[in-house]
Amino acid sequence: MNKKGLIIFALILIFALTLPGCNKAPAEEHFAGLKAKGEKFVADYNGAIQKLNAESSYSYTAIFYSETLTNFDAENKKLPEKEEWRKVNKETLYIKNGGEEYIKVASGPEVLELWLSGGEVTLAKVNGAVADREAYNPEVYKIAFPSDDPAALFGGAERKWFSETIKTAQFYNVCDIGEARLPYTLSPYTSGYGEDLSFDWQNIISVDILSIGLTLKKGRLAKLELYTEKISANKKEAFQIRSNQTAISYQGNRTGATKTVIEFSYPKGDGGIAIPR
Amino acid sequence: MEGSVNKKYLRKRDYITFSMARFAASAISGLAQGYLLIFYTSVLGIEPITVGVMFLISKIFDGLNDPVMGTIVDKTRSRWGKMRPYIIFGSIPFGIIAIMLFLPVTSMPSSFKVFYMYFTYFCYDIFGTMVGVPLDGLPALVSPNSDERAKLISVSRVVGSVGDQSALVLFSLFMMFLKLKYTLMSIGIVIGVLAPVFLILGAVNVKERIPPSEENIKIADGFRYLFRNKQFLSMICSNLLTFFRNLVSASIVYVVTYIYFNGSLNIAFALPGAVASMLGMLFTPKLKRKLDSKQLFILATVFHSVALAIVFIVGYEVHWIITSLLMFFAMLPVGILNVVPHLMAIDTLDYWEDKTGKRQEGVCFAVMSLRSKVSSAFKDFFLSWLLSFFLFAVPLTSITDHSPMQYRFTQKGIFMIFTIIPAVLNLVSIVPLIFYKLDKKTMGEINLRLSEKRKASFEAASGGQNE
Repeated sequence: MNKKGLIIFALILIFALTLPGCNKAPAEEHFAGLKAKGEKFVADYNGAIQKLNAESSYSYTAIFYSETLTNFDAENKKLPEKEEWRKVNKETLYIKNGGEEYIKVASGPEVLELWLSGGEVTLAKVNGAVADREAYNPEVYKIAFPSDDPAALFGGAERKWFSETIKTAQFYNVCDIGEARLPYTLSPYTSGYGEDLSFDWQNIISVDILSIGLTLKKGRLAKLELYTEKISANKKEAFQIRSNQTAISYQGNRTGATKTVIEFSYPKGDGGIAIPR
Repeated sequence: MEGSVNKKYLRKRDYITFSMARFAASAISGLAQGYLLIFYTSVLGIEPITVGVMFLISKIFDGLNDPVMGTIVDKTRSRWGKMRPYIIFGSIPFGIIAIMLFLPVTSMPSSFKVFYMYFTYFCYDIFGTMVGVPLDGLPALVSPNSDERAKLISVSRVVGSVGDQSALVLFSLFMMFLKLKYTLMSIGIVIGVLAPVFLILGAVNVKERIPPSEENIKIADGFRYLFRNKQFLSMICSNLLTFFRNLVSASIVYVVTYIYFNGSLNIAFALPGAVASMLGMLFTPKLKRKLDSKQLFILATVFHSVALAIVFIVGYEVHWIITSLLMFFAMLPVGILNVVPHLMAIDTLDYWEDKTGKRQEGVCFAVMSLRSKVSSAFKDFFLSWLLSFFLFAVPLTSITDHSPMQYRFTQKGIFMIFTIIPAVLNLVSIVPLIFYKLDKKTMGEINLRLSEKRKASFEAASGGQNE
């Protein structure tokens, strides 16, 4: 190939490869694609949870972490000068064996254990000492598996990794000053999509992001990850010497987040998972 | 050519100023290699795969750009020599581009951001080649004494590796006071302003002492040289495959941000690695006396892979100090692996001169430079592909300082990119060296013959002048 041919070929190749970076699907097409992905994810997610509920015996360990900016002035949309965060760690062990259930929750120095039969608490212990079983509602300590509106889907993907399948989805909900909580695709205070997505922070209270990761091993739920982020709108005031005025701009900052990682186990043989006595 | 081949030509000042120039060039490339991907993905919010494609395209362009620049250098005849004019006149635009690379054009639409990324990166590529190729080739011309040339390469590479880390030091410093986008912009400004000064000082001070050959070199010679000099070709192929090893340093920022949740640990991971790498460089001349370049390359590669595999087995759920300490040992052979290819390149130049009577430093170091950029592009493309594969959640630019939580699968993936993936793939770089035959004995014979030839040619030239 002569030099000119080589240069033309290189230029065509460069141009062809550049196009996918600049071209974007129209908004309707983009949102329709997301919605379809979201519906599929919600169906897969519900299927996995239904299958889990049908298991006669299983257990899970859940690690929960949350952080909250306690001194954020939500009413005046003002970030504190010195941030104060409340951080909470909690670990839960849950075992189900037929009609019998066991819940162990460790939060700080306190360890709570509940034994259930037919959904009713039969024994409660706090740090090993027997406690009033009537005082505890077991549903509070079990993990509630959330779902979300597929129209709020921001993005999602699926990967196969050896014997595992990982399905992920991200949901965005916008809470505006009219106190409506809408999926980002329906909110009048969002514009653009993909990497151009932007929020009209002046008219928004917060954007709630939920990321869900579902790991299936041999068709069974092996791991469930839930991450939430609260992005709160806040205003920034800066005095402009030139105009002798105070300029106000709005932005979004993280004011709270949670992380929940749940790992499931199933009995190896025909028998169930033994509940500690 | 002046006097005996064993005469000393270089002054202390030459080592210092040339090393400063190397420091400056490495500071810009270290900044670009270490932070461009995170700037494009986290500050400009461009998808990793789009960035990866751009890196790959730029290297297709380099396939023409570098050998052409090497041949232009080899054809240049000026009173300042054939390398120095390009360093002197290319350094100021190179500095300006370093500043432009990190301008946070975040308020622009995404298509403009993609265009801006392509434009500035291609300009960086062009001026980087204009300065980099002559800078790499200059040590081969500053002295006829091969010991002095090897010493200049070794010393300047050590100082250059410090320059490589200067962006990291500035990053840790600026991150204490500024947001990510302003940190990167400030580093770009500091390095972009100082680098041209160092480069010009280095180029003005050092002299080119080996006169260029009289023959007329054509552009196509640059491409031909690569395929005719089989020893050079096998060395370059092996060197090209070392890009997997660069995944380690490129993924540090992801490891500290998304596994240890502390971006300021960047320095705690990168600096021990850089120190270890420098120690490796300093020990290379000593090790070179006992082993030849090929043996040294293979040994260092295997050591590096085994050490990285150990870090992977230990895992990331240990305290970060343990990981950082283990990485220090894993990075010891990297310094050796950085110097040995340059020593091998000079061996292949000697081999070619012995075989054909020709010496093409410009083309040789242009191909070396191309190799380095292609490796870097492969690394960037591979890294962005791996991040996409492991479902890395890209931060949203519309949220201030957003670092999204990553799935466990993603965290595991990032740690694999940091350890076991380069550990396994590094070993591939040994394969092309099966064809590399320039061992200690062969090089001893070649150097003896060349020394005699140069002496005879010098005596003939002196005799001619006397007559």
